[in-house]
Amino acid sequence: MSSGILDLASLTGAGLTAGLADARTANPVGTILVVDDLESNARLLERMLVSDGHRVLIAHDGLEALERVRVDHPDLVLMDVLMPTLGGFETCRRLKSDPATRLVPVVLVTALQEGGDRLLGLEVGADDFICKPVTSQELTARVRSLVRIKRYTDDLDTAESVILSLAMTIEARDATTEGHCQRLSRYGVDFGRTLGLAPEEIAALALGGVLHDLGKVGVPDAVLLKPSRLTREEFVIMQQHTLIGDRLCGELRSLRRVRPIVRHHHERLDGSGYPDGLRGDAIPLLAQIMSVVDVFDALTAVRPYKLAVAAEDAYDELFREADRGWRRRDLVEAFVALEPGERS
Amino acid sequence: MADATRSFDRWLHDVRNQLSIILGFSEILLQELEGDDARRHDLQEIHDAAERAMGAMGRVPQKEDESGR
Repeated sequence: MSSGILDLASLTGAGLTAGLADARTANPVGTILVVDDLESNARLLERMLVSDGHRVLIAHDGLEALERVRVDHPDLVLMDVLMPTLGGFETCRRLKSDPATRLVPVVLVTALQEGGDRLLGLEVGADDFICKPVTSQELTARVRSLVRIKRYTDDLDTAESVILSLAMTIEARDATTEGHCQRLSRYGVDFGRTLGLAPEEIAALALGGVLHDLGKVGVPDAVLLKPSRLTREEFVIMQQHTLIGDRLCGELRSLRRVRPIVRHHHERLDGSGYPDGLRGDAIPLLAQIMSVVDVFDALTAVRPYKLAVAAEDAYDELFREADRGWRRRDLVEAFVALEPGERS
Repeated sequence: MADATRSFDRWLHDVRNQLSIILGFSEILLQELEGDDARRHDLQEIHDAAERAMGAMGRVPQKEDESGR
């Protein structure tokens, strides 16, 4: 029997990533920026790389390299260490400290022999270090390996962007929830900071605010947008959004802390929630936090079929839910104790 | 003393750089030449000489810096 839910089971984050990766890493050739003040050295590396199928760009010092990376987005930078104006170490440090370029692999190529220079290279964020003389076999093997990793990084980034875009379509479909995701992100981050959570947990709450209802893309409009009370069958369909969202996040490593929020933000401490009926501490803390801010925002926002409830009344409702055994009272108290400015 | 060490290191670096260019291009040409090309032997001599010179560079006694390293 059809559940009426779109079949999105196979469209997982991991599936997206694997599909893209298979297509793009089978032949890992890319655009390589060679940086060397010695023209003959640059031409030598170019010869070796072009014969392996890569496209090669050349820069003659660090400043030119920074500009080429910014404009041409190479897949890899092969850079000499000793260069005039701006050397390889400093250029590498600048590339790795700029969020726009930090994921571009940098290989330092040098005729220096000092072990200390290798260490310094690693300290400034270089991904690899090659000593001259370079054989074409060694060079092409290392470059192919790093270009393949770069492709995976690009694809993960792409898959995460697709998932986030998908989540934003929920708000586009249901105009009555406009701004809900952004508010939840903000509340979640403020609440997480107040609770003294670790930075990676706060980051998960920021992303969880946007992604928590991701699975609603798989819920039909007739159910999602129904202005009146859902029937029992429709509610069962609606509940599936937690499972669909969890599957969509898939095995994306960057979303691993967010998945528990997506799956468990409708659980209740007494086991009466969904989808797994988890009890007590078995419900992940981040999901419990998202649940508090989700209910608060749902109550205090204006919807076509209801007026906004005052914040004080929303607090009372959260405390009543704590009394019923649905949520932790201490979490509700901590949320209520937030300064109003931290929730607006 | 530190200046002398630095300029010696720089000299080593520059010579290794030039030798690696000779080695790299001769290696590419050796790969591209047909097996029975009459120039292969001469080219191999250039490549091997550069390789020996690179090996000799590695045996140059390293000067100690001021810390006695």
